[in-house]
Amino acid sequence: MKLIKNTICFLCISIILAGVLMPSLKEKVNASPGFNIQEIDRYLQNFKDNSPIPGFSVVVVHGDEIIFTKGYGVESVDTGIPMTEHSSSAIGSYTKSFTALAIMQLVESGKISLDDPVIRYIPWFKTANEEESQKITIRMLLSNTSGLPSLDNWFFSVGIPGQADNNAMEKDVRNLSSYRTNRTPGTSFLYSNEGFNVAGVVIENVTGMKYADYIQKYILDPLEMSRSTTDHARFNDLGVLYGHNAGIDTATPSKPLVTTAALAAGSELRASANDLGHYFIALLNGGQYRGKQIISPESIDEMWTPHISFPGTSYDMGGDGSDSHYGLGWMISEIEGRTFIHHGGSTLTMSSFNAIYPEKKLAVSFLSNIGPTDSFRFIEKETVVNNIFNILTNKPTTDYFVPRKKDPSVTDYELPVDVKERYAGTYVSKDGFFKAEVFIAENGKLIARLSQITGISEFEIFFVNESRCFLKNIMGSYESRFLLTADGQVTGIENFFGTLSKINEDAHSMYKTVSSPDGLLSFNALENMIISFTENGFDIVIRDDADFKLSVNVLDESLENTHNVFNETITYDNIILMSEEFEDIINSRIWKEKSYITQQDGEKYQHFVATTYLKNKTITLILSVSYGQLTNMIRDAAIPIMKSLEVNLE
Amino acid sequence: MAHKQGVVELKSIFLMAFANIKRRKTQSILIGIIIMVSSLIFSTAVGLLFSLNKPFETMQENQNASHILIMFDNKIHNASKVSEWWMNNTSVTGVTGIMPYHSVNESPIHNGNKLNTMINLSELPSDELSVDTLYIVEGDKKPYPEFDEVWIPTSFAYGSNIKIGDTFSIPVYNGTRDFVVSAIVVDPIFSTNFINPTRVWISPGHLPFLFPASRLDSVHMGIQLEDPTAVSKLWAEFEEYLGVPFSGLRLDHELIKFSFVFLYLLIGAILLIFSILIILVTFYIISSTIASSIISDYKTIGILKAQGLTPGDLVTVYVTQYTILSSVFILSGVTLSIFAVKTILQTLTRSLGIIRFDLQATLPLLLLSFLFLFALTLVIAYLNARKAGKVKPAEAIRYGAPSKKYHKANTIKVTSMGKLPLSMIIGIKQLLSQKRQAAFLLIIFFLTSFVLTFSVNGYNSISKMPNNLSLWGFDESHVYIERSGKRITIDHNELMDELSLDERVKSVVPLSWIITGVVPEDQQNPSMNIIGVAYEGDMSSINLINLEGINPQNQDEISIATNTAKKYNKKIGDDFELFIEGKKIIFKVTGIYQSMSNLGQGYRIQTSAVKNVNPLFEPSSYAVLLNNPKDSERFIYHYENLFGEAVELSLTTEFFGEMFDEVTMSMGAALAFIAVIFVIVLIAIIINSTLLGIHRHKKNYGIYKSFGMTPFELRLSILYKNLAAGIPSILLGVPISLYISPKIVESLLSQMGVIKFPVTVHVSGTVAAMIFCLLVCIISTWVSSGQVLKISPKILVSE
Repeated sequence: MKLIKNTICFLCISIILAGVLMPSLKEKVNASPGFNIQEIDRYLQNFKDNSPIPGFSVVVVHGDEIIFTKGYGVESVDTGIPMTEHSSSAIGSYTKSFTALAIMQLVESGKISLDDPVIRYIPWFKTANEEESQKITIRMLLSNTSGLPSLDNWFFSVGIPGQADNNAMEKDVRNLSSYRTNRTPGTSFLYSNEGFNVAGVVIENVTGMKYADYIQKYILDPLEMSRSTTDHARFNDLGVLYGHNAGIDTATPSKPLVTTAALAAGSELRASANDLGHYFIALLNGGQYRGKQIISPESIDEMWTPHISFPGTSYDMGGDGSDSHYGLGWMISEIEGRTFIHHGGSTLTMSSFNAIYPEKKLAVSFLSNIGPTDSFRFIEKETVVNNIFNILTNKPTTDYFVPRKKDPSVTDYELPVDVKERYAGTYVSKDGFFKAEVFIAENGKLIARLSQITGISEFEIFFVNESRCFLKNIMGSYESRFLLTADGQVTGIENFFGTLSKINEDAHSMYKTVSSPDGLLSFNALENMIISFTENGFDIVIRDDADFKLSVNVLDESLENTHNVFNETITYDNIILMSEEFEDIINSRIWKEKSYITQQDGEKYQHFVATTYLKNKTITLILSVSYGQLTNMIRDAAIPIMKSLEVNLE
Repeated sequence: MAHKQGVVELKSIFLMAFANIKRRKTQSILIGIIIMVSSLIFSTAVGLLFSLNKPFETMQENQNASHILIMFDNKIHNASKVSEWWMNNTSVTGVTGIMPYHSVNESPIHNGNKLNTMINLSELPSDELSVDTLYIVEGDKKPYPEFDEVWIPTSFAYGSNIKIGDTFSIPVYNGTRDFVVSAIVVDPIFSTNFINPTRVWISPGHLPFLFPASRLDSVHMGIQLEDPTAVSKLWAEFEEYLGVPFSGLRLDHELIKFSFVFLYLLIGAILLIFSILIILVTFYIISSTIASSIISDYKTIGILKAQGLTPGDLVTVYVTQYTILSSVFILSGVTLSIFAVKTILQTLTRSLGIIRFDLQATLPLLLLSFLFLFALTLVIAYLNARKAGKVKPAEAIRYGAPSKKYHKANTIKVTSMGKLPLSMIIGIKQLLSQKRQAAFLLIIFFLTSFVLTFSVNGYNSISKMPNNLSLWGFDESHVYIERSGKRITIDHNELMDELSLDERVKSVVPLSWIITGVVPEDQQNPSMNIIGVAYEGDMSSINLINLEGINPQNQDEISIATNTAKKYNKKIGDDFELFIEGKKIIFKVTGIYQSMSNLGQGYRIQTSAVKNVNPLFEPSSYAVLLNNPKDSERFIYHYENLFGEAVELSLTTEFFGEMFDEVTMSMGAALAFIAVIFVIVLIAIIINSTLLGIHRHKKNYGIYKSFGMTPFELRLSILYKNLAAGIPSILLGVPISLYISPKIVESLLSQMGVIKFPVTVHVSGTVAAMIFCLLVCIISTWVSSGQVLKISPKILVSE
């Protein structure tokens, strides 16, 4: 259960197109005899009133029917659209149970054996220690005992939904050849998204279908899960949610730009509460849904049989300290004397908790449009789901999963006022992925504003001493540490995102801010750049370097054209080399990038092309330099423009 | 006329000297060999120590190497501005320019094997480097690698057996990219295995093809200074310009140089110490041989003197004899040392791309060594040969020996050894009657056993380091546990509870690295970040030991590493100030320990000290000592199975297994070299001594033969004689070596933090060395004692 209590950092974001509204559906409440449905609704409404979660949806299944399903709050604090049982949300790692089910279907059809080595189905599969990866079986992948590392390269293929690399999952699996297994395969529990990705590639190789297509055809379609998909190309059509970032007291909408295509088989599924009710019905009825047998009872038993144990929620954290177990794509725990089959999932901006109580043929899903919340201050969804079972079985609600220990972030320490200024500034991670602004708010509190791909999260900083602190917001308190010199100067901060170094602002003062005459564009440029504005953007040359050319074009193009930039817009003659396409994040914007080498009159040139979609405009940056200068010029000329470029539309 | 007579005399002296050498051919050759090997080892040590810096300096000069290498992130410090500042500084003679690189977090793969060396993937500028130029030792000469080619520094290539044309796979953004090794280059900064990560070179402008633009911020640059010693002053100015502490990595000339040469410096120092010992032995041999010759030629000398040869002439005969011997053999030894130095430095010179390493600059020094040894030999020869001048002709002609000595020869009472075999009695008698020879044999046996013991146990101590960690400053736990789960975590108390119930566990000590500890500046030292460890509980239970004092037990106590104690001049009982997490804590020094980590810098404290300034502090690592080390694998399996990803367990030996492979190998070779030299000298001396003894006592042997003793018994008596000298010396040499040799190494390793060299005695190896010494004695004696067969009782008649 601790698995769910910890942040699982997967992103899932979808786009809601303006004007596309969800069908107006009322919550479904089937008055089943013996169940106090009204009490569940009352309990959830009370929970909503005391929780910072902007919106959530719940489904409760008994036997072969949905006895309760409803949304609470809003889909997005921006739009105010009400959350319903049909709102399509990211379920995160609960996707793993679908991948396991798909594998079990293939086992039943005789195409796969659980105890076959993976290399039988993916001959090229290997880790850096190939002799170990050869031992990994399909069963080990699904029970998280493969020993494969958990790289969580979810940003491997960030991308605009529908345009992310369709081979991202296979690339992630091929990338394992650079890593060693962390444990001897089959010996212990090591949660690995990569393991499920490998299972996803097994499905693709065995069936000849893309993973998303297989899941659609053999699971989602038969279960009539019409508002569910693992295909990011369908996100827009389904109007899937993209969740919220956490602030100090409130949530802010996440940017709608990222998919988790690279971890498709581990965490890509979007589903509505109602759809998940169909899934439960099949699982509670020996694999049968409305007369369709999608999986055998034996296979369900196999998935729900404990394969390996791991520590459950400790007493301090609200549990009873007993072990939990992992089956195949499912967890098995004993909670307050009941055996639950369950799995949770979380992205940075959405989360879910799903549990089945087989003995009573009950099941509950809880989908939230924000990540986990601070369990020291708020009731978490695990407690909610457990209490729904309590209500359903006429037992009093409990505080299971509510931490018993004191919130460690609450201390008596006060940072001296005179040193606060030292902490203020800009901090960036080495890869540029995360950026934090630390500033003193009007009320004198130190605030950290963290920018990442999904947007901005805000934290109040609670110090424990001059170095140690907690970054605290509605999602939780994250222990962090400011790096100090002996004389108290602050050089960086270490937190859950790694080390962020404090930027010396003066060091980068060599750039001037330039605006186009019409005020449409503004950006930072080097002092020695000669800028000429054009109809669609601007061109830059540098004195003393005849080969340097940089141009930026801002076109009123659709999203699709952004995608086609490399295929159609950029046409170089005499290309002798071209890089693969990278998806990059600069200043919280996604850029697609490609590099080229061309040859003209015996001379070689290097080019860098980057494109992004900003405020309904496609922006393309093209940099050309003499051979060998590309990296330096990307660093000195292109990146400052990519970081600072603003399109100022009225 | 007088001139002509002088020439004749000189000629006669030469002829006599030659005749002496010829007459005692075997003995002369043996002495020659001893002179040769002693001069070989001495010149090798001198040559090595004095030529050690040369290849490094030559490489630095040839490749216009920088004195500081800085690596940093352009986001933190603006690369152009940093470069501009250094370029405009008048104390700077050159900079490389800003070179992009990417620090690869995963190990590269070569021939399917993951390599231990990490790499910085660096772009070689398209414009030729003026500083830190690369020298291509293998592969096509071209300005920079082609696309998808990689250039590998020599030491990395040689150490990992990477060859031209090999595929070298590098983890990049989207998987692994295969590169072809197209050149092996001498990189002035990274051509040593002691700097990790190393850097490999790719074509200019290649990184954007491997990584997204946002990952291209890392740059490095080499800075060459007019005065490399002015680094500290310049650096202070640089940080003042930055306005903030430099956030990046700096490699200084001194550290780079030390990384290149320290191993050879160590080898050179050991050779020098032993070469001095062996030279002393050699001179003792010369002096004793001359003394023996004078006694055995006593009569001849008397006759010559009676014929009018002056004492000076006689001295000249001996001096000339040794002039001839030493000029030939010292010259040979010194000449051979050139090859020895070249061989020892081969790994270094090869990694520096110096194919023909000539020792021309060292030649005057080697000539000086030659002259020094030559002069010393002649002085020794002269001092001993003066005795020939003192021979009284009448006494010599009449008795054939100095009367005093002749009569004093037999002082041992045979009755006291009545129960011993006759051969043994004769052997011991002979040994005692020739005190000089006896002392001499005793010394060489002593030294050889000393050296062999040193070699065996020195090598064993270094190679057995992983089994002997506490003496090197590490704990002796069998397993490390790390609470490191990404999603599944367990509490400190939960883990401790589980471990406390485990009967396999002898002791467990939670620990945590303190990487933020700063020692404030004092009058001699600027403030400095020193890494230490906080332990919870009884450190001695995992065999953490101190050289002096005790482990800290309270929150205000600290144990500091030897070089930290030295640097801050701290003793047991002193106060020691340390900033942890920005807070000053005053500790009381309770112990001083030895540590190989961080050049002997570090400290140990109790976790309670850290908890005082950081209430959240909780150890995340655990050193576990098991009752039975054989349980380690099962123990690891058990806890991995129990806690899943919440814990990471590893065998302690995994950390140290390959740590000192190169050191072990090089030191092993050097120690073997010294051992071989000493064994050669021992053999030469035994043969020489045996032959001298037979020659001197041939009359006695004639008598013994006439009494009916068989040649076998006679040879046995000689063997007993040598063994009588050998056995006690060997028995003495071993313990003394075990006591003294660590002190020799300690003096050499103190810079690295080792002030008490932990000797791991290899008992069977030491016993084998002793037996080997005895075998050498037995075989050498037996072979050379064959001379006794030629002695006939008739000799008595002819007398």
